[in-house]
Amino acid sequence: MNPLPHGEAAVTAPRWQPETPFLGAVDTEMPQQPAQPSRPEADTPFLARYQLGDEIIDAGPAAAQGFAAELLDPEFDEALEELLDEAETLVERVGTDETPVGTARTRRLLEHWIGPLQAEAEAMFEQIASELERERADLLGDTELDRLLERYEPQETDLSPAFENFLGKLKKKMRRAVQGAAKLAKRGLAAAAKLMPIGPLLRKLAGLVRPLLKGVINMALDKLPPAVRPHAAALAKKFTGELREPEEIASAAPAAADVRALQLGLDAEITGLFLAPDETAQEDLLTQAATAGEVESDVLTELDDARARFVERFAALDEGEDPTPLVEEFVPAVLALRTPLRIGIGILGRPKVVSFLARYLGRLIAPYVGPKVTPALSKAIVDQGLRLMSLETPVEPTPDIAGEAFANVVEDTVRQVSALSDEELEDEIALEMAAYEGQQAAVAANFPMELLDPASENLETRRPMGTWVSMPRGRRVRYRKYSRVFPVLITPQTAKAVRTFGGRTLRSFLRDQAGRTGAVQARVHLYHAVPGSRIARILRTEHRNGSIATGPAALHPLTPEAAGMLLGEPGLGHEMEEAYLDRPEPLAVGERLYYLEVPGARTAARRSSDADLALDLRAGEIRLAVFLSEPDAQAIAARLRRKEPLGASLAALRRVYRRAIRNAFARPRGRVRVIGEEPGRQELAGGPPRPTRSRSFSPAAVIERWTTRALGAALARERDAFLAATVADADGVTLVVRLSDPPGLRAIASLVRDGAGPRAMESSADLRGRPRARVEIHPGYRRA
Amino acid sequence: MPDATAALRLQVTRQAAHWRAAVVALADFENFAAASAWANLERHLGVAIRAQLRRSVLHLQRTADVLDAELRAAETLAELDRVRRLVVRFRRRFLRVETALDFYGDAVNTRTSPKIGGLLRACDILAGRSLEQVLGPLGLPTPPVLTYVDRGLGASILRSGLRLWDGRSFSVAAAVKVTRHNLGGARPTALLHECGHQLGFSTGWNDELAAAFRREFQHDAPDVGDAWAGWSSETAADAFAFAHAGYAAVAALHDVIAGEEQRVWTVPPGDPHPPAALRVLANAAMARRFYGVGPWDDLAGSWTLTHPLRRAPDRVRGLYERSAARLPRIVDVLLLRPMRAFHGRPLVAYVDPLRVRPDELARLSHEAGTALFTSPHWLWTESLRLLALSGYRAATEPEHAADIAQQYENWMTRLGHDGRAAA
Repeated sequence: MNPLPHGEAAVTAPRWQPETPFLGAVDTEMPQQPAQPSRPEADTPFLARYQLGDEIIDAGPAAAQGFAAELLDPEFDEALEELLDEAETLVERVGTDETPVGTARTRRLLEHWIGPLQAEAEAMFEQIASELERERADLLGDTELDRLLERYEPQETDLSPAFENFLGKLKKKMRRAVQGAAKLAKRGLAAAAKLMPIGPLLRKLAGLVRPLLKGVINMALDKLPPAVRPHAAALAKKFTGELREPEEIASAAPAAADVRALQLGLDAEITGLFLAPDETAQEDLLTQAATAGEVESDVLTELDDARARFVERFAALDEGEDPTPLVEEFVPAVLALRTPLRIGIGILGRPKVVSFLARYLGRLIAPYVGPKVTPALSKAIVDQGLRLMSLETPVEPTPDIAGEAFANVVEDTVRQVSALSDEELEDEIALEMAAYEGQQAAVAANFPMELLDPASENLETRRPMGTWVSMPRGRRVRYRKYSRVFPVLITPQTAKAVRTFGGRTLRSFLRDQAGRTGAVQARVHLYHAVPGSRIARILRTEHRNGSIATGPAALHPLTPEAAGMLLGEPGLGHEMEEAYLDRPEPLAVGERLYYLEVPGARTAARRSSDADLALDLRAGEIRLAVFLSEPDAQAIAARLRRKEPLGASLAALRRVYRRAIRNAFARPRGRVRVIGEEPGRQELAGGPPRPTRSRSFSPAAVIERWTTRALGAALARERDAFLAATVADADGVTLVVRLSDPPGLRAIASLVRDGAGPRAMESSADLRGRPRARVEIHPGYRRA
Repeated sequence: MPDATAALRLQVTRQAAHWRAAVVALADFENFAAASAWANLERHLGVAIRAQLRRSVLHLQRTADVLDAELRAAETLAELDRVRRLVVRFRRRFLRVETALDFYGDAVNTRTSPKIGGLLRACDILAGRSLEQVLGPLGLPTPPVLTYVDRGLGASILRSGLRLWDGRSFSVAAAVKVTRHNLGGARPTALLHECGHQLGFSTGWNDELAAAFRREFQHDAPDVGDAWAGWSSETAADAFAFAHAGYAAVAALHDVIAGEEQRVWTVPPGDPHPPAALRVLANAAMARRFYGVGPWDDLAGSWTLTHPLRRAPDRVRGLYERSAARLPRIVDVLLLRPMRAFHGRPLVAYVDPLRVRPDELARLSHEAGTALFTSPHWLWTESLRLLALSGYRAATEPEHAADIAQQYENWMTRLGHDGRAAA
């Protein structure tokens, strides 16, 4: 089928024909029709209308930030992820039959499923609250607190491992909250002092369980919109200073809500409860949390419906019929996912832009409609894509297939345009450029290469290889998969050069997670994120289909560099914004990922080396927890047993903490925990810190230097302690470096709090001098 | 004779229905191995084997469909008789597919116990690693390996890529039998020998090696060249096992082939195995060539004492003596001769026997400390050297045999547990 059978239709179109990525031309022009009525702004109960704010929280933002920062626990994310995985598996098993009745039935089922967990969690708060009924947390030592918490026994004895894990992590969070409150009370903070004894307040925390678990259910049902911030996450931002939504610092939209938002929300609500000035404020907060938990969003379902309508109507079009009205109806559903977050009017408030997009794309599609053309087009897509995949049921080349490809083109193009600023949307040239680039890339991504102009610079591969296929097959598309799987040999050199999430290398992933070193044979599966994409969801569907067999449960960012080095096809990669490379979730719409199927790989997940930095103003210290993965720890232990000079071991350690420290200062908000009160500007000698180009005063470089010295001395002195830690059964070893009374601590904290970004790498603050240093060695993972 | 036609139709129809129903039973793999045993396979391996078996059964089902259609279309006695013959042919096909399913079912079923399941999964990993170390750099795919345990003295392999019993499908996984005495005795190095056969098959090494033996001895001892060319596939497998496991492989081989006096001196015509008299000496010569003096000298000395070449039958004594005198050259051809199969490099360029030299193993043991047998890091990155170490200790410290076997079982179980299929 070469060239594309568009000829006759194109000849009948008398209008100007712009450049098309297909083999042949189609036409379009700027809109001539009157503007369509605008879609009303999405009515969101979130962010803007949330009532909690400064007016009822009087403890000061620094205290709140410190308190909330202590609550954040990556293992709580994992526990929520496990719950979500179980919930989604349940949804997939029973299905929602895509009607309101079906969804309601599934929701009831989920509520029934999670009921025992909710009851147990609430009972846990009640029981522990009773234990602490008359206790003053500020007078309790950690050991005594642990003893009291240990008295709690689950009432249910047959809870699933996911439920038990969640309860354990919830208890851990409660412990941290009590410790945090005790610290505040010891410092004489008025709001915290009112909370003693702490038992009654803990009882109130039980009220936060239901909204949290409701959030899990809503995520499983796709009722939490990816780009609309839940109220609690808004609070979280206020308290923790963490930028939860990458879209605030990136132009790409998130594909789905992620569990970190739920955790940050809970942390913020706990913080709000602990620091609220009186009981009324606490009750208000609980009411707000409960109300917000009830809110659902249907944007994803509406997009599914709109896409299905587009595909169905596309298939019914006759030769010469104009597809523009179909596109015009589809575009608002695509935009609805992103619009609520935009500052300003956005596209939905600009009917002229919507109309332009509809007509632009309508003209691109027009030559390919009708019963003469679409079957051939569909056949080509099936032959080059779908037939190459092992699907549960064979796919026939019905006109729907072509409709699906064009629906993807519309979605991808519109999303590209929706990233424009308000100013650019006003600019016809900028708009047309974005539409042109968007549709060129979108067509290249969604149609087999045989149908495209071989001279196009947008072709993704050098020769025909495959195409992106919407998955799972059916109405609810949640990701796309490339129809071809690439067998590759990953050499140690390539593995070292390819970066995955969090700045780690593929080498450390293969070694730590898959248990593989040296040259590794693998099969590479490629994915493309769409609204609703989550990593666990993609992997679960792929496992169920039998498409992927073995390997650690992880996807990696398919950047052009990674695609070039692994596949020799950089065009299959997607340029990613830094904000999305930091951690795997949330995915960005349009993000490309890959899965490494490694035969004989270890399946048990292991933690990779990383470091965690905290600036504790209260204790007057910088704490750096350097976690060494099991392979890194064993490699250093082997060097120590060989009695090698410490250089190589310290260099291995530095590779871990240097990356973490530099990342922390390069994107400080949320990457460095600052504990304690915020320094006043007048407290800073010489005024607020100013940026400088002198490397010697870079806080990151200075902390790195102090850390290196501390670790060098510790490894020489505590060799046996380190070796003992590596022999323990725990996974990896953590070295906690405590730098007490470091010069310039408050200045550094100020820079971090100000969100100075890259500026914080260099400061004129006086960092000369040396802190006192202490290093603790623990088997397993610890935070700073 | 309409009655005869009806009678024949009835007979044929009944048989066709019977075999169709039998095919349905074939499609349920749990009729051949317990679900728990299938679950004990590494996922990649399980998927590959089930997909292969499913294809065979599907083909059988399609053949049954054709048979039904033929039966419906048959009207005359002659036509019905033709269908009857087709049923008989179908039955033969069924039995072939059933044989394949039985073979894999029996193999998988040896994993029903968690303990054996763990040990065999570890064996799968060891076997896969040993092959990937050579096939990976050569750009050749490493087949999945399914190990199973069975009685007997020696191991065996059904190579990946062989045509199966049904005559049309090819095995997608190498199936390696390990014996009970080796699996539980800290030295399943025979597993590596069997993987050596897979390597020879996948790379074409065996034929090239045979030619190399002939070339090496063409001037001074052509009969030695011819004899070792005939034994090339087995000696190649021995060399592969030695390169990975060092003296552990030599000692384990000795213990398996020692004892049967008749096989010590002669082998049946066409048997690819060298006679034990020479094979033990050749393996010991590999260790001597790479490691110098060591316990293999005692092993060889003791062997020679028990089985002096002068006792060999007259018709082969000369050949054996000439071979024994040329063992260093035989070892060089096996391990150090560049081969096209290995892209112009020798086997040791991919698997270096010096890494499992006794002092290297001692160094590994010292550097990793007790974590060597417990840390997932060492288990996953040094599993083959751990096997070499356990095997070496088992060979040289018989007084600690029970402790060594326990330690071996513990680390193998940990490795197997870590490699368990995701649910």
